[in-house]
Amino acid sequence: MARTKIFALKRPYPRQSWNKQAVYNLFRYRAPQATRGTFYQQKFRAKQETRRFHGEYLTERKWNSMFRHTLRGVVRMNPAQMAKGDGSDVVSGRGSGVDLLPRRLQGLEGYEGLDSTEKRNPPIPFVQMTFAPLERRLDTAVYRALFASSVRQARMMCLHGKVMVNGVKMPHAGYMLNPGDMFSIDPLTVMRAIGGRERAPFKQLSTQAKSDLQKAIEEAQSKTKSSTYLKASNKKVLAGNADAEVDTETFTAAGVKSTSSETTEGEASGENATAAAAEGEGSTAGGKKKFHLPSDWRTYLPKHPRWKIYDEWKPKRFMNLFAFVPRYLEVNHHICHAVYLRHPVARSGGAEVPNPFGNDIMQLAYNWYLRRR
Amino acid sequence: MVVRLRLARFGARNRPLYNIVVSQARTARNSKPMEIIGTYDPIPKPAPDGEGKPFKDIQLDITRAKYWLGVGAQPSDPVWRLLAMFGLIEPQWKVVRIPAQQEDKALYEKVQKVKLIADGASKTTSTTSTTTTS
Amino acid sequence: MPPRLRPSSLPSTSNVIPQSFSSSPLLPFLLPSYHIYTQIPTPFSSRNFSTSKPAYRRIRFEKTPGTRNGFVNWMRKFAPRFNVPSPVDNIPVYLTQEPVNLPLLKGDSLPSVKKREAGVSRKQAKRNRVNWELAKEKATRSPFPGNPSFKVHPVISTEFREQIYLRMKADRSVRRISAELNCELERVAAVIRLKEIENKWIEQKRPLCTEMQKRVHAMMPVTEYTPFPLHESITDLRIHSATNNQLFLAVPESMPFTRQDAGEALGLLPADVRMPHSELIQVEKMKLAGVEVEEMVRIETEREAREAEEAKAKKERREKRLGAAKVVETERFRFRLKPANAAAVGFRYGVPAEDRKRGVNKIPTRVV
Repeated sequence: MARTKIFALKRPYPRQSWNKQAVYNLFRYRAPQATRGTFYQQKFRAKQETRRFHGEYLTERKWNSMFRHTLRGVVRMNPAQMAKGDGSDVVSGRGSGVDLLPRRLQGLEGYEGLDSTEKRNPPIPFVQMTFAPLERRLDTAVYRALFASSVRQARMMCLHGKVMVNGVKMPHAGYMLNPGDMFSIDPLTVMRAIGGRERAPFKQLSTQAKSDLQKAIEEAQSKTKSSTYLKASNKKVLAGNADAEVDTETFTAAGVKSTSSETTEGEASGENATAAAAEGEGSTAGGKKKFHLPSDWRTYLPKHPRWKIYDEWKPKRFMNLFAFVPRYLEVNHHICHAVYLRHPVARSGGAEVPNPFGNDIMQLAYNWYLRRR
Repeated sequence: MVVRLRLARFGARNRPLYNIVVSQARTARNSKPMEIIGTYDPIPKPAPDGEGKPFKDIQLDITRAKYWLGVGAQPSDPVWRLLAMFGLIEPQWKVVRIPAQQEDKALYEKVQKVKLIADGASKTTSTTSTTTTS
Repeated sequence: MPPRLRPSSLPSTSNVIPQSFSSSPLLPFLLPSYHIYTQIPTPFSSRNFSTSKPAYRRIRFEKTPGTRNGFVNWMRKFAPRFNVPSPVDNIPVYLTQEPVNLPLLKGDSLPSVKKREAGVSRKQAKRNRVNWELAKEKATRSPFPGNPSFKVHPVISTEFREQIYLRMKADRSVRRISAELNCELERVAAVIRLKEIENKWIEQKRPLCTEMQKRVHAMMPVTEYTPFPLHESITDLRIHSATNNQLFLAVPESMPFTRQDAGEALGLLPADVRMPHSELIQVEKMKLAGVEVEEMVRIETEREAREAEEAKAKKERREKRLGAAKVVETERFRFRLKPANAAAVGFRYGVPAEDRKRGVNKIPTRVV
């Protein structure tokens, strides 16, 4: 990666990130005037601007090898119309189909039904597809599926081996997805990546809560039945249950929940600062009483922060500005899996590649990469 | 000199892949063989559905293998094992191992019988048990 | 070399411009450039060295948008408007929510600002001219202010997915579900695939991110399930590269030139065949011919059964051709036995292995 300072405020450049500086820069970004300078200068400038957004961490050489001058597009077919005729009406007349309505007659009385074809089918924005090959990259797809808050973060996830493709670890961020490939990430990683700041895990317990907890743990360990829930191997099952039925029961039986609700509140928020920190075993708190809590006592609490995120997840700041999934992906956030359905295409309504640049800039950038400059 | 059906090692360190080859017995392992008739990947792949035993892949040209066996080529022990899976030759050894559960069951029955003797159960059972033990 | 002119030695703008202009944002353009640079320095900065403020003071008090101060200002004033983690009524909020040029109403009914009615403020009159429906539509569909041509397409809701899965469970083909619910074929298949994994997770008591799913969907446009949902076009025909070039073809004027002919001329199958859901054309033809509904259903069911059989036969033939792998199970492993051709099988001799060579792409191209 060539550059690390990518959110500089001096000159705004749009970047693929939900970072606050990136949002500010995207907000005040104005594309350069396309008509200034020679044609070469225009193309170069357009290429510079667009490449700062699309795969800015790739070298120009790498991107050049990925670029394809063929751009994918689709046309929407109408079966009802195709059933009516065999298509010969399109080429009837003088060879260019039935005459279009002249522009001067459009919208006049008596001509309402006859609209120009151009208006019914706006042109396909092919140039918006210039950077479509990048969308095949695994890191970009992870970002597009809303599993990461920036492409660089998505790339990091790949390199750290968090991303699986078809159930196999894929440590290459540059893996080109094929239609039908399924990629997935561990939900906890995703929730941290696109989630807001988590509440700090509590460090303090009141004296009352501590003695109750100790009692509960001892009781649970002595009892054969409930100890099955609290065995170290089963702890994950206990805390991981979304509805947390198992542990609530255990604790009600053991007596933690039977103390007043305010104690529980005090535990969670850490506001009840009457006692000193309960650090593992043998710390003196609230006076003379000694507690022998196991070192992993936090995981015995019904709402351990590690699992709390499943129920109390909050989106990262500014996530709503980027909350959209392109049509070529099908994402299931329940399990943090997504499927790459097909390659992105352009259609009459618009292209599928998310892109903040207008058609004029994209046209120039596309021309630059055609290598006839 | 004998013509053998044997494996030639390819792949990389800790990542073997074998060609099943037909070659003269005295030539080097990876020298150019008379013919390649298949491959064998000894590294188990996890089952695609995530359940059950892992897979190992074997590819073999069965007609060529039959031909070479017909003209008297001698398979090496590992290749013998692979060819036996295709049903081209009889397996060299038949290893019959009692699966763990069945072993347990046998043991359980044995213990039961011993117990019956110790308890001094009815005559019929004791006679049957004595016949089995003797 | 003449002494370099420092910005601080330039005249104060208030000396040059009439006071009334000073607040205009176009100030630099109103001034001809020679005017600035030919001015003699004003007496208060007649020194040769810089009299500008020291760096620490300059940074602290400068309030231009390009610096940290501008950013902090923006974060304080504007950012709360854009950071909407749970939008009202699930209407997404994107950066375009307050576009600079609001779309105006069209037609004669456009109320003018000058000839406004008494009691209507100027601001209100301006607001009345705006086409708010269109503005809202634009704001909730395009996330990039600079590119209105990029439109967000809604995703399908959780309930919608559930419906697709239920239909699959009721033994309906992917093709039929796709046509019924107006979802692309690939999407239907993917939804079913993902749903299967989800069910497996529930079985294994693995926690699902229900909260995240809910909140993420609240931030983006979502297609809710209705009996006849209109999610997306299912008959998108891929533009073949052969159709990009012009083709000159002599055609008799008296003969009709159909899609079939066009396909033949280009060396392609006609669009009627290449299109996904080409069977819909037959359905529409039956509708035009006035075929009874029961009859249509019967024909369609027959066609489905026939297609399923054909697909099965094709799969069998393919397996037979490739030689379906026979599996031998041993104590620890399963051996997949595949027939092969001696001419094509195995690693070749005399070919260097390039797996460690520099510059050779080692990223796998496919994961099966």
